[in-house]
Amino acid sequence: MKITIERAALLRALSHVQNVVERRNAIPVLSNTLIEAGKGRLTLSATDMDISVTDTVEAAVQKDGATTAPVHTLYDIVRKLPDGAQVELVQQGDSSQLALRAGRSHFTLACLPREDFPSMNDGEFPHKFELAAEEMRTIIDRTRFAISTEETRYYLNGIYCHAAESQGLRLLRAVATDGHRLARVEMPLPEGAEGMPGVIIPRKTVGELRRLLDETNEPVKVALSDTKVRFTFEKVVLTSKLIDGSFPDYERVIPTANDKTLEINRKAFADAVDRVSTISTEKSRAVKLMLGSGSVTLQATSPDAGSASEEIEASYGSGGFEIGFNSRYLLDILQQIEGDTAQFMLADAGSPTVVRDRADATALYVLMPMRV
Amino acid sequence: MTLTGNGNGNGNNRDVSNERSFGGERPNALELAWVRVRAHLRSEYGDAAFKNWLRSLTLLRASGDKVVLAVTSKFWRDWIAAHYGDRLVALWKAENLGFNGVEIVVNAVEAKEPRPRGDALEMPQRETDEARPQPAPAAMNGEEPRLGDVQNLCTPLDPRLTFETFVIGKPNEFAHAAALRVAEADEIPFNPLFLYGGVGLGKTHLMHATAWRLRMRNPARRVMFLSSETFMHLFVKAVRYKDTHAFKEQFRSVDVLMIDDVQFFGEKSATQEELFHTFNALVDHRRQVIISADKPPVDLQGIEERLKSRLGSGVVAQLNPTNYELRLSILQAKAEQKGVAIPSKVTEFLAHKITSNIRELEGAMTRLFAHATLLNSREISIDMAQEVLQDLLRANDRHVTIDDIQKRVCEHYNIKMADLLSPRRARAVARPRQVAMYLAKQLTTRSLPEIGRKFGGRDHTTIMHGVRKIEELRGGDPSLNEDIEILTRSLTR
Amino acid sequence: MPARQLVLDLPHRAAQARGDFLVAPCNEAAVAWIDRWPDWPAPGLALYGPAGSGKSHLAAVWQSRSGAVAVSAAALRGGRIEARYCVFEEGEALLRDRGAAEALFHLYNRIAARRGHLLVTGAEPPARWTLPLADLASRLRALPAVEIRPPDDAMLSGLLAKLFRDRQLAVPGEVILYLVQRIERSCAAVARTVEALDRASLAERRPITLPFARATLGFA
Repeated sequence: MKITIERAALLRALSHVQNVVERRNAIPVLSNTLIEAGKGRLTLSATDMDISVTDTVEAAVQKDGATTAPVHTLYDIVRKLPDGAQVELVQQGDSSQLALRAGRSHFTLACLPREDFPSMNDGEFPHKFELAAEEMRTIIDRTRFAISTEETRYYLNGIYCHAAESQGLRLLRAVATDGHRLARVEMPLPEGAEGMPGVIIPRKTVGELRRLLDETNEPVKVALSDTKVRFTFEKVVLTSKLIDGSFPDYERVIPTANDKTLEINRKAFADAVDRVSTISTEKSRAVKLMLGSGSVTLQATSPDAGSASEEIEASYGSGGFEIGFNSRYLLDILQQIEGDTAQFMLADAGSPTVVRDRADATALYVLMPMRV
Repeated sequence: MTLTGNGNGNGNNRDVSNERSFGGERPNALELAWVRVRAHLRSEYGDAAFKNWLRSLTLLRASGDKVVLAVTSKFWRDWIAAHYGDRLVALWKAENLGFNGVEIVVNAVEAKEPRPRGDALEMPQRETDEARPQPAPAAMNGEEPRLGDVQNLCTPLDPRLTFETFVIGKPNEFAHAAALRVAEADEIPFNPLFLYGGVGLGKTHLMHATAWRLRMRNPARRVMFLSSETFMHLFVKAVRYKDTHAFKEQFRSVDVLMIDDVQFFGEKSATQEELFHTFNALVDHRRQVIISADKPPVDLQGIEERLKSRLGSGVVAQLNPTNYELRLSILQAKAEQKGVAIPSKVTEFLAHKITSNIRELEGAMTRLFAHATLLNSREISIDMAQEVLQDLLRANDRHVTIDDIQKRVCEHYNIKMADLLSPRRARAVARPRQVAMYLAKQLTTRSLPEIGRKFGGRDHTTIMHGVRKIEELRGGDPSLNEDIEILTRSLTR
Repeated sequence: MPARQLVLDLPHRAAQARGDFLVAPCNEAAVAWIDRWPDWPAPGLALYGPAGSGKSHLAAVWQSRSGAVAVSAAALRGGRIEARYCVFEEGEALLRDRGAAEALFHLYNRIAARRGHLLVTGAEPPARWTLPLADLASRLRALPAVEIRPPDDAMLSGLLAKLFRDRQLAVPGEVILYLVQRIERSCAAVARTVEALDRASLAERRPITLPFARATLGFA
């Protein structure tokens, strides 16, 4: 194998694939990227056995061939090469070494035969549809903060996507919850997604996907089976296993009869929560909200640090009461709201509270209070 | 679910001798290996894990290079495969019988498809109402038959309830004779026939028997037999659909009208009024009316006087509570009918114990037969009857408490409660104490720490130890075993 | 008391097929009766045992095989039910409800007349129910009554593991063996324990380990 490629193009491709590879691997070949050269193209692939990413770039291929080489090392080398450099990759026959040359720099990397590189058995993807990059970014951004990070509950370690129907509209819904809060976003169901199964896309896949979405504004092709999902960008293909679990019937925890409405300026509220929570204990981060006619008073106390309170204006007229929340959770949700006004629908101090952006009906958040 | 070991797994077919199942007299190599594998599992995972998880595994057969084991539910299969699968494979490989994998199958009855209905019951020997079109089964509040289909709402006659199967004794001989008279007479002997008696004494049996005989003697006769509830239901519907004319027509055109359980007409004045008129019309036209109820006409509650007096104007016959002789004859007749041998000691025991009514007596017999013949092929004995019918025989028992157990154990071993609860370790008190702990675990749902607290604040491990000790000793110590059985019986009866 | 995070009451689905039912010595007679349907010698069957012992699960198994209609006391009072196979799971509700008892009596008669079956369940056998209607009482008492006894250790551990799995929680076997030795030995206690551990682990974002179980349940 012998190819020459511009440094920036190679770096970009490596940056797409290197992130899925774990830093430590019991199986050496999983630290490597599969490098395939042929037909004027260079294809790089990497996998952690759950996710695989493949990128194809144009390159001057003098001799076809394929091998695997340590992806992090390769990435670090190329990153440190000077801008505009031409990079040459050479493997002699079946040699266990890959030579990299750029200007006066010369590296030799240990490589493993391509046959050792695992291929993710793709199988069929019976459901196919397209989503605009912008829509996908929204889906991820509005929900990913609520994904559970607790490994015991593997079925909550991802974003649940499914087709739903509401008031005669066919919707694509994405939901994430960690049991403390829940985020749900919906959009019109894209063509081709009608019969899609409900799937849980793992947290790590969501992260990779979001990184790739930063670089594009083209529609993304989505293909689904019961066990796998594939996202196809212009050159990059990301394939991932889905979480093998069943997502809880989350609709049942979204209250529909909360009758106390609080409307409040998002920014003023977020700033106040941020200030007051400076005093909250590190562990619980609790703030207490005292709702009164036309205002909300925030309060935090800590046996060690002291206490804080702040009153801000709000539209509220349902009778005074107190409710506690984890300040970080409040901030997480307020951050998702782009309009000026956040709308809270409350029932009582022990029941789930619904939060919405008054200017955007597509996203909905449910937050469980704290007993304070 | 198949678990495989790595490596030399080419599934060459094994000796057919291993394919057979294991009912033989002598254990073969496979069974012996299974005993060893189980022993390994037990020592590796400990008694508790073995008893809780692995005991449910049974050896099924060898299949190729795999051993097939069975469990009783999907859950056990998944659990054992996930937690013990690798060990099972390794242990079987170590047996050097050429096995390279283990397959665990679920031995539940899932595969058993529901059979068509009713095949377990004796099918009627004569033409029965089952042959008639029925309202759609399992349709709740669905399409109900219109009034024109009134015949469909008649109670279907039960072929088991005939005069031939009716056992006669002092308590019911008059009612039987009266019913038989009506059933066999060509002219109406008296009108109406009013049968009454407490629950489960044979009213419904006599009604069915009479209807059968009437039909058999003269198939052209229109016999309408229905429950009072159906009568009411039809009437209420007729009123709602303003169709009372058709209703009246239907009822007044029959030759014999039989209504079961008229006590349910109490306080239903409109229905009573309708029955009164129907009754008069039928009697005027010399049609037979047969009524049953739980009380004589004069004692019926919420029934109008004029209707009561009509109901009592013919022959009023009572089915009296059973006596021992009648109960015994019923049991014997029932056993004979079913062709089941049942020791006379058992029939006497039942006739003695189950005095409430015939229905419950027969129900008890049915349960005994089911247990004996179909569930576990056991001989019918007094012990078995006591076990199977415990809920009937001990209907008023209360639940056993740890206090009861301690008290009874102290009495049994003649020791003081203070000693039982004390830290003393002398064997004369230690063993009874362990027996009491053992019984507390067996007979109550208390947790081990709770039992510990009840035994003078002992730790739950002490209780566990005591329970294990007795479990071990029971097997080899007949007198201890007997103590425990006596105590268990006296506590639970 | 420090502030405590409350958790969403996320529902879970319990596996209710026949193959999911744990057969242990304490319930094998009941399972045998359900399995031998339609070969039942009487117009019905009474299934009794403590709360959470699996009566409803077995009733659901039978229901799916027989197509039986589940009947509540309220439904009984509500109108005439025309079904050949019925399940009535509120045995004890009849004690104070004459209207429902009377309706069940008539329903029983219709079922018996059509050679159908009625499955009744309760904590106690019908022989111990003091029903407001003697006619119904004697009919129910005459049915075969089969007990699901309080669970043995095998059942308790199996049930703990199953309920954790219903909630998709991976819990080490040692935790289960530990719990079996300490909790009240009833199915209801197993359900309560699993529920408590699930909620606590969700609230505190911690896996269910031996120290966690010990601390949550307050065992020394």
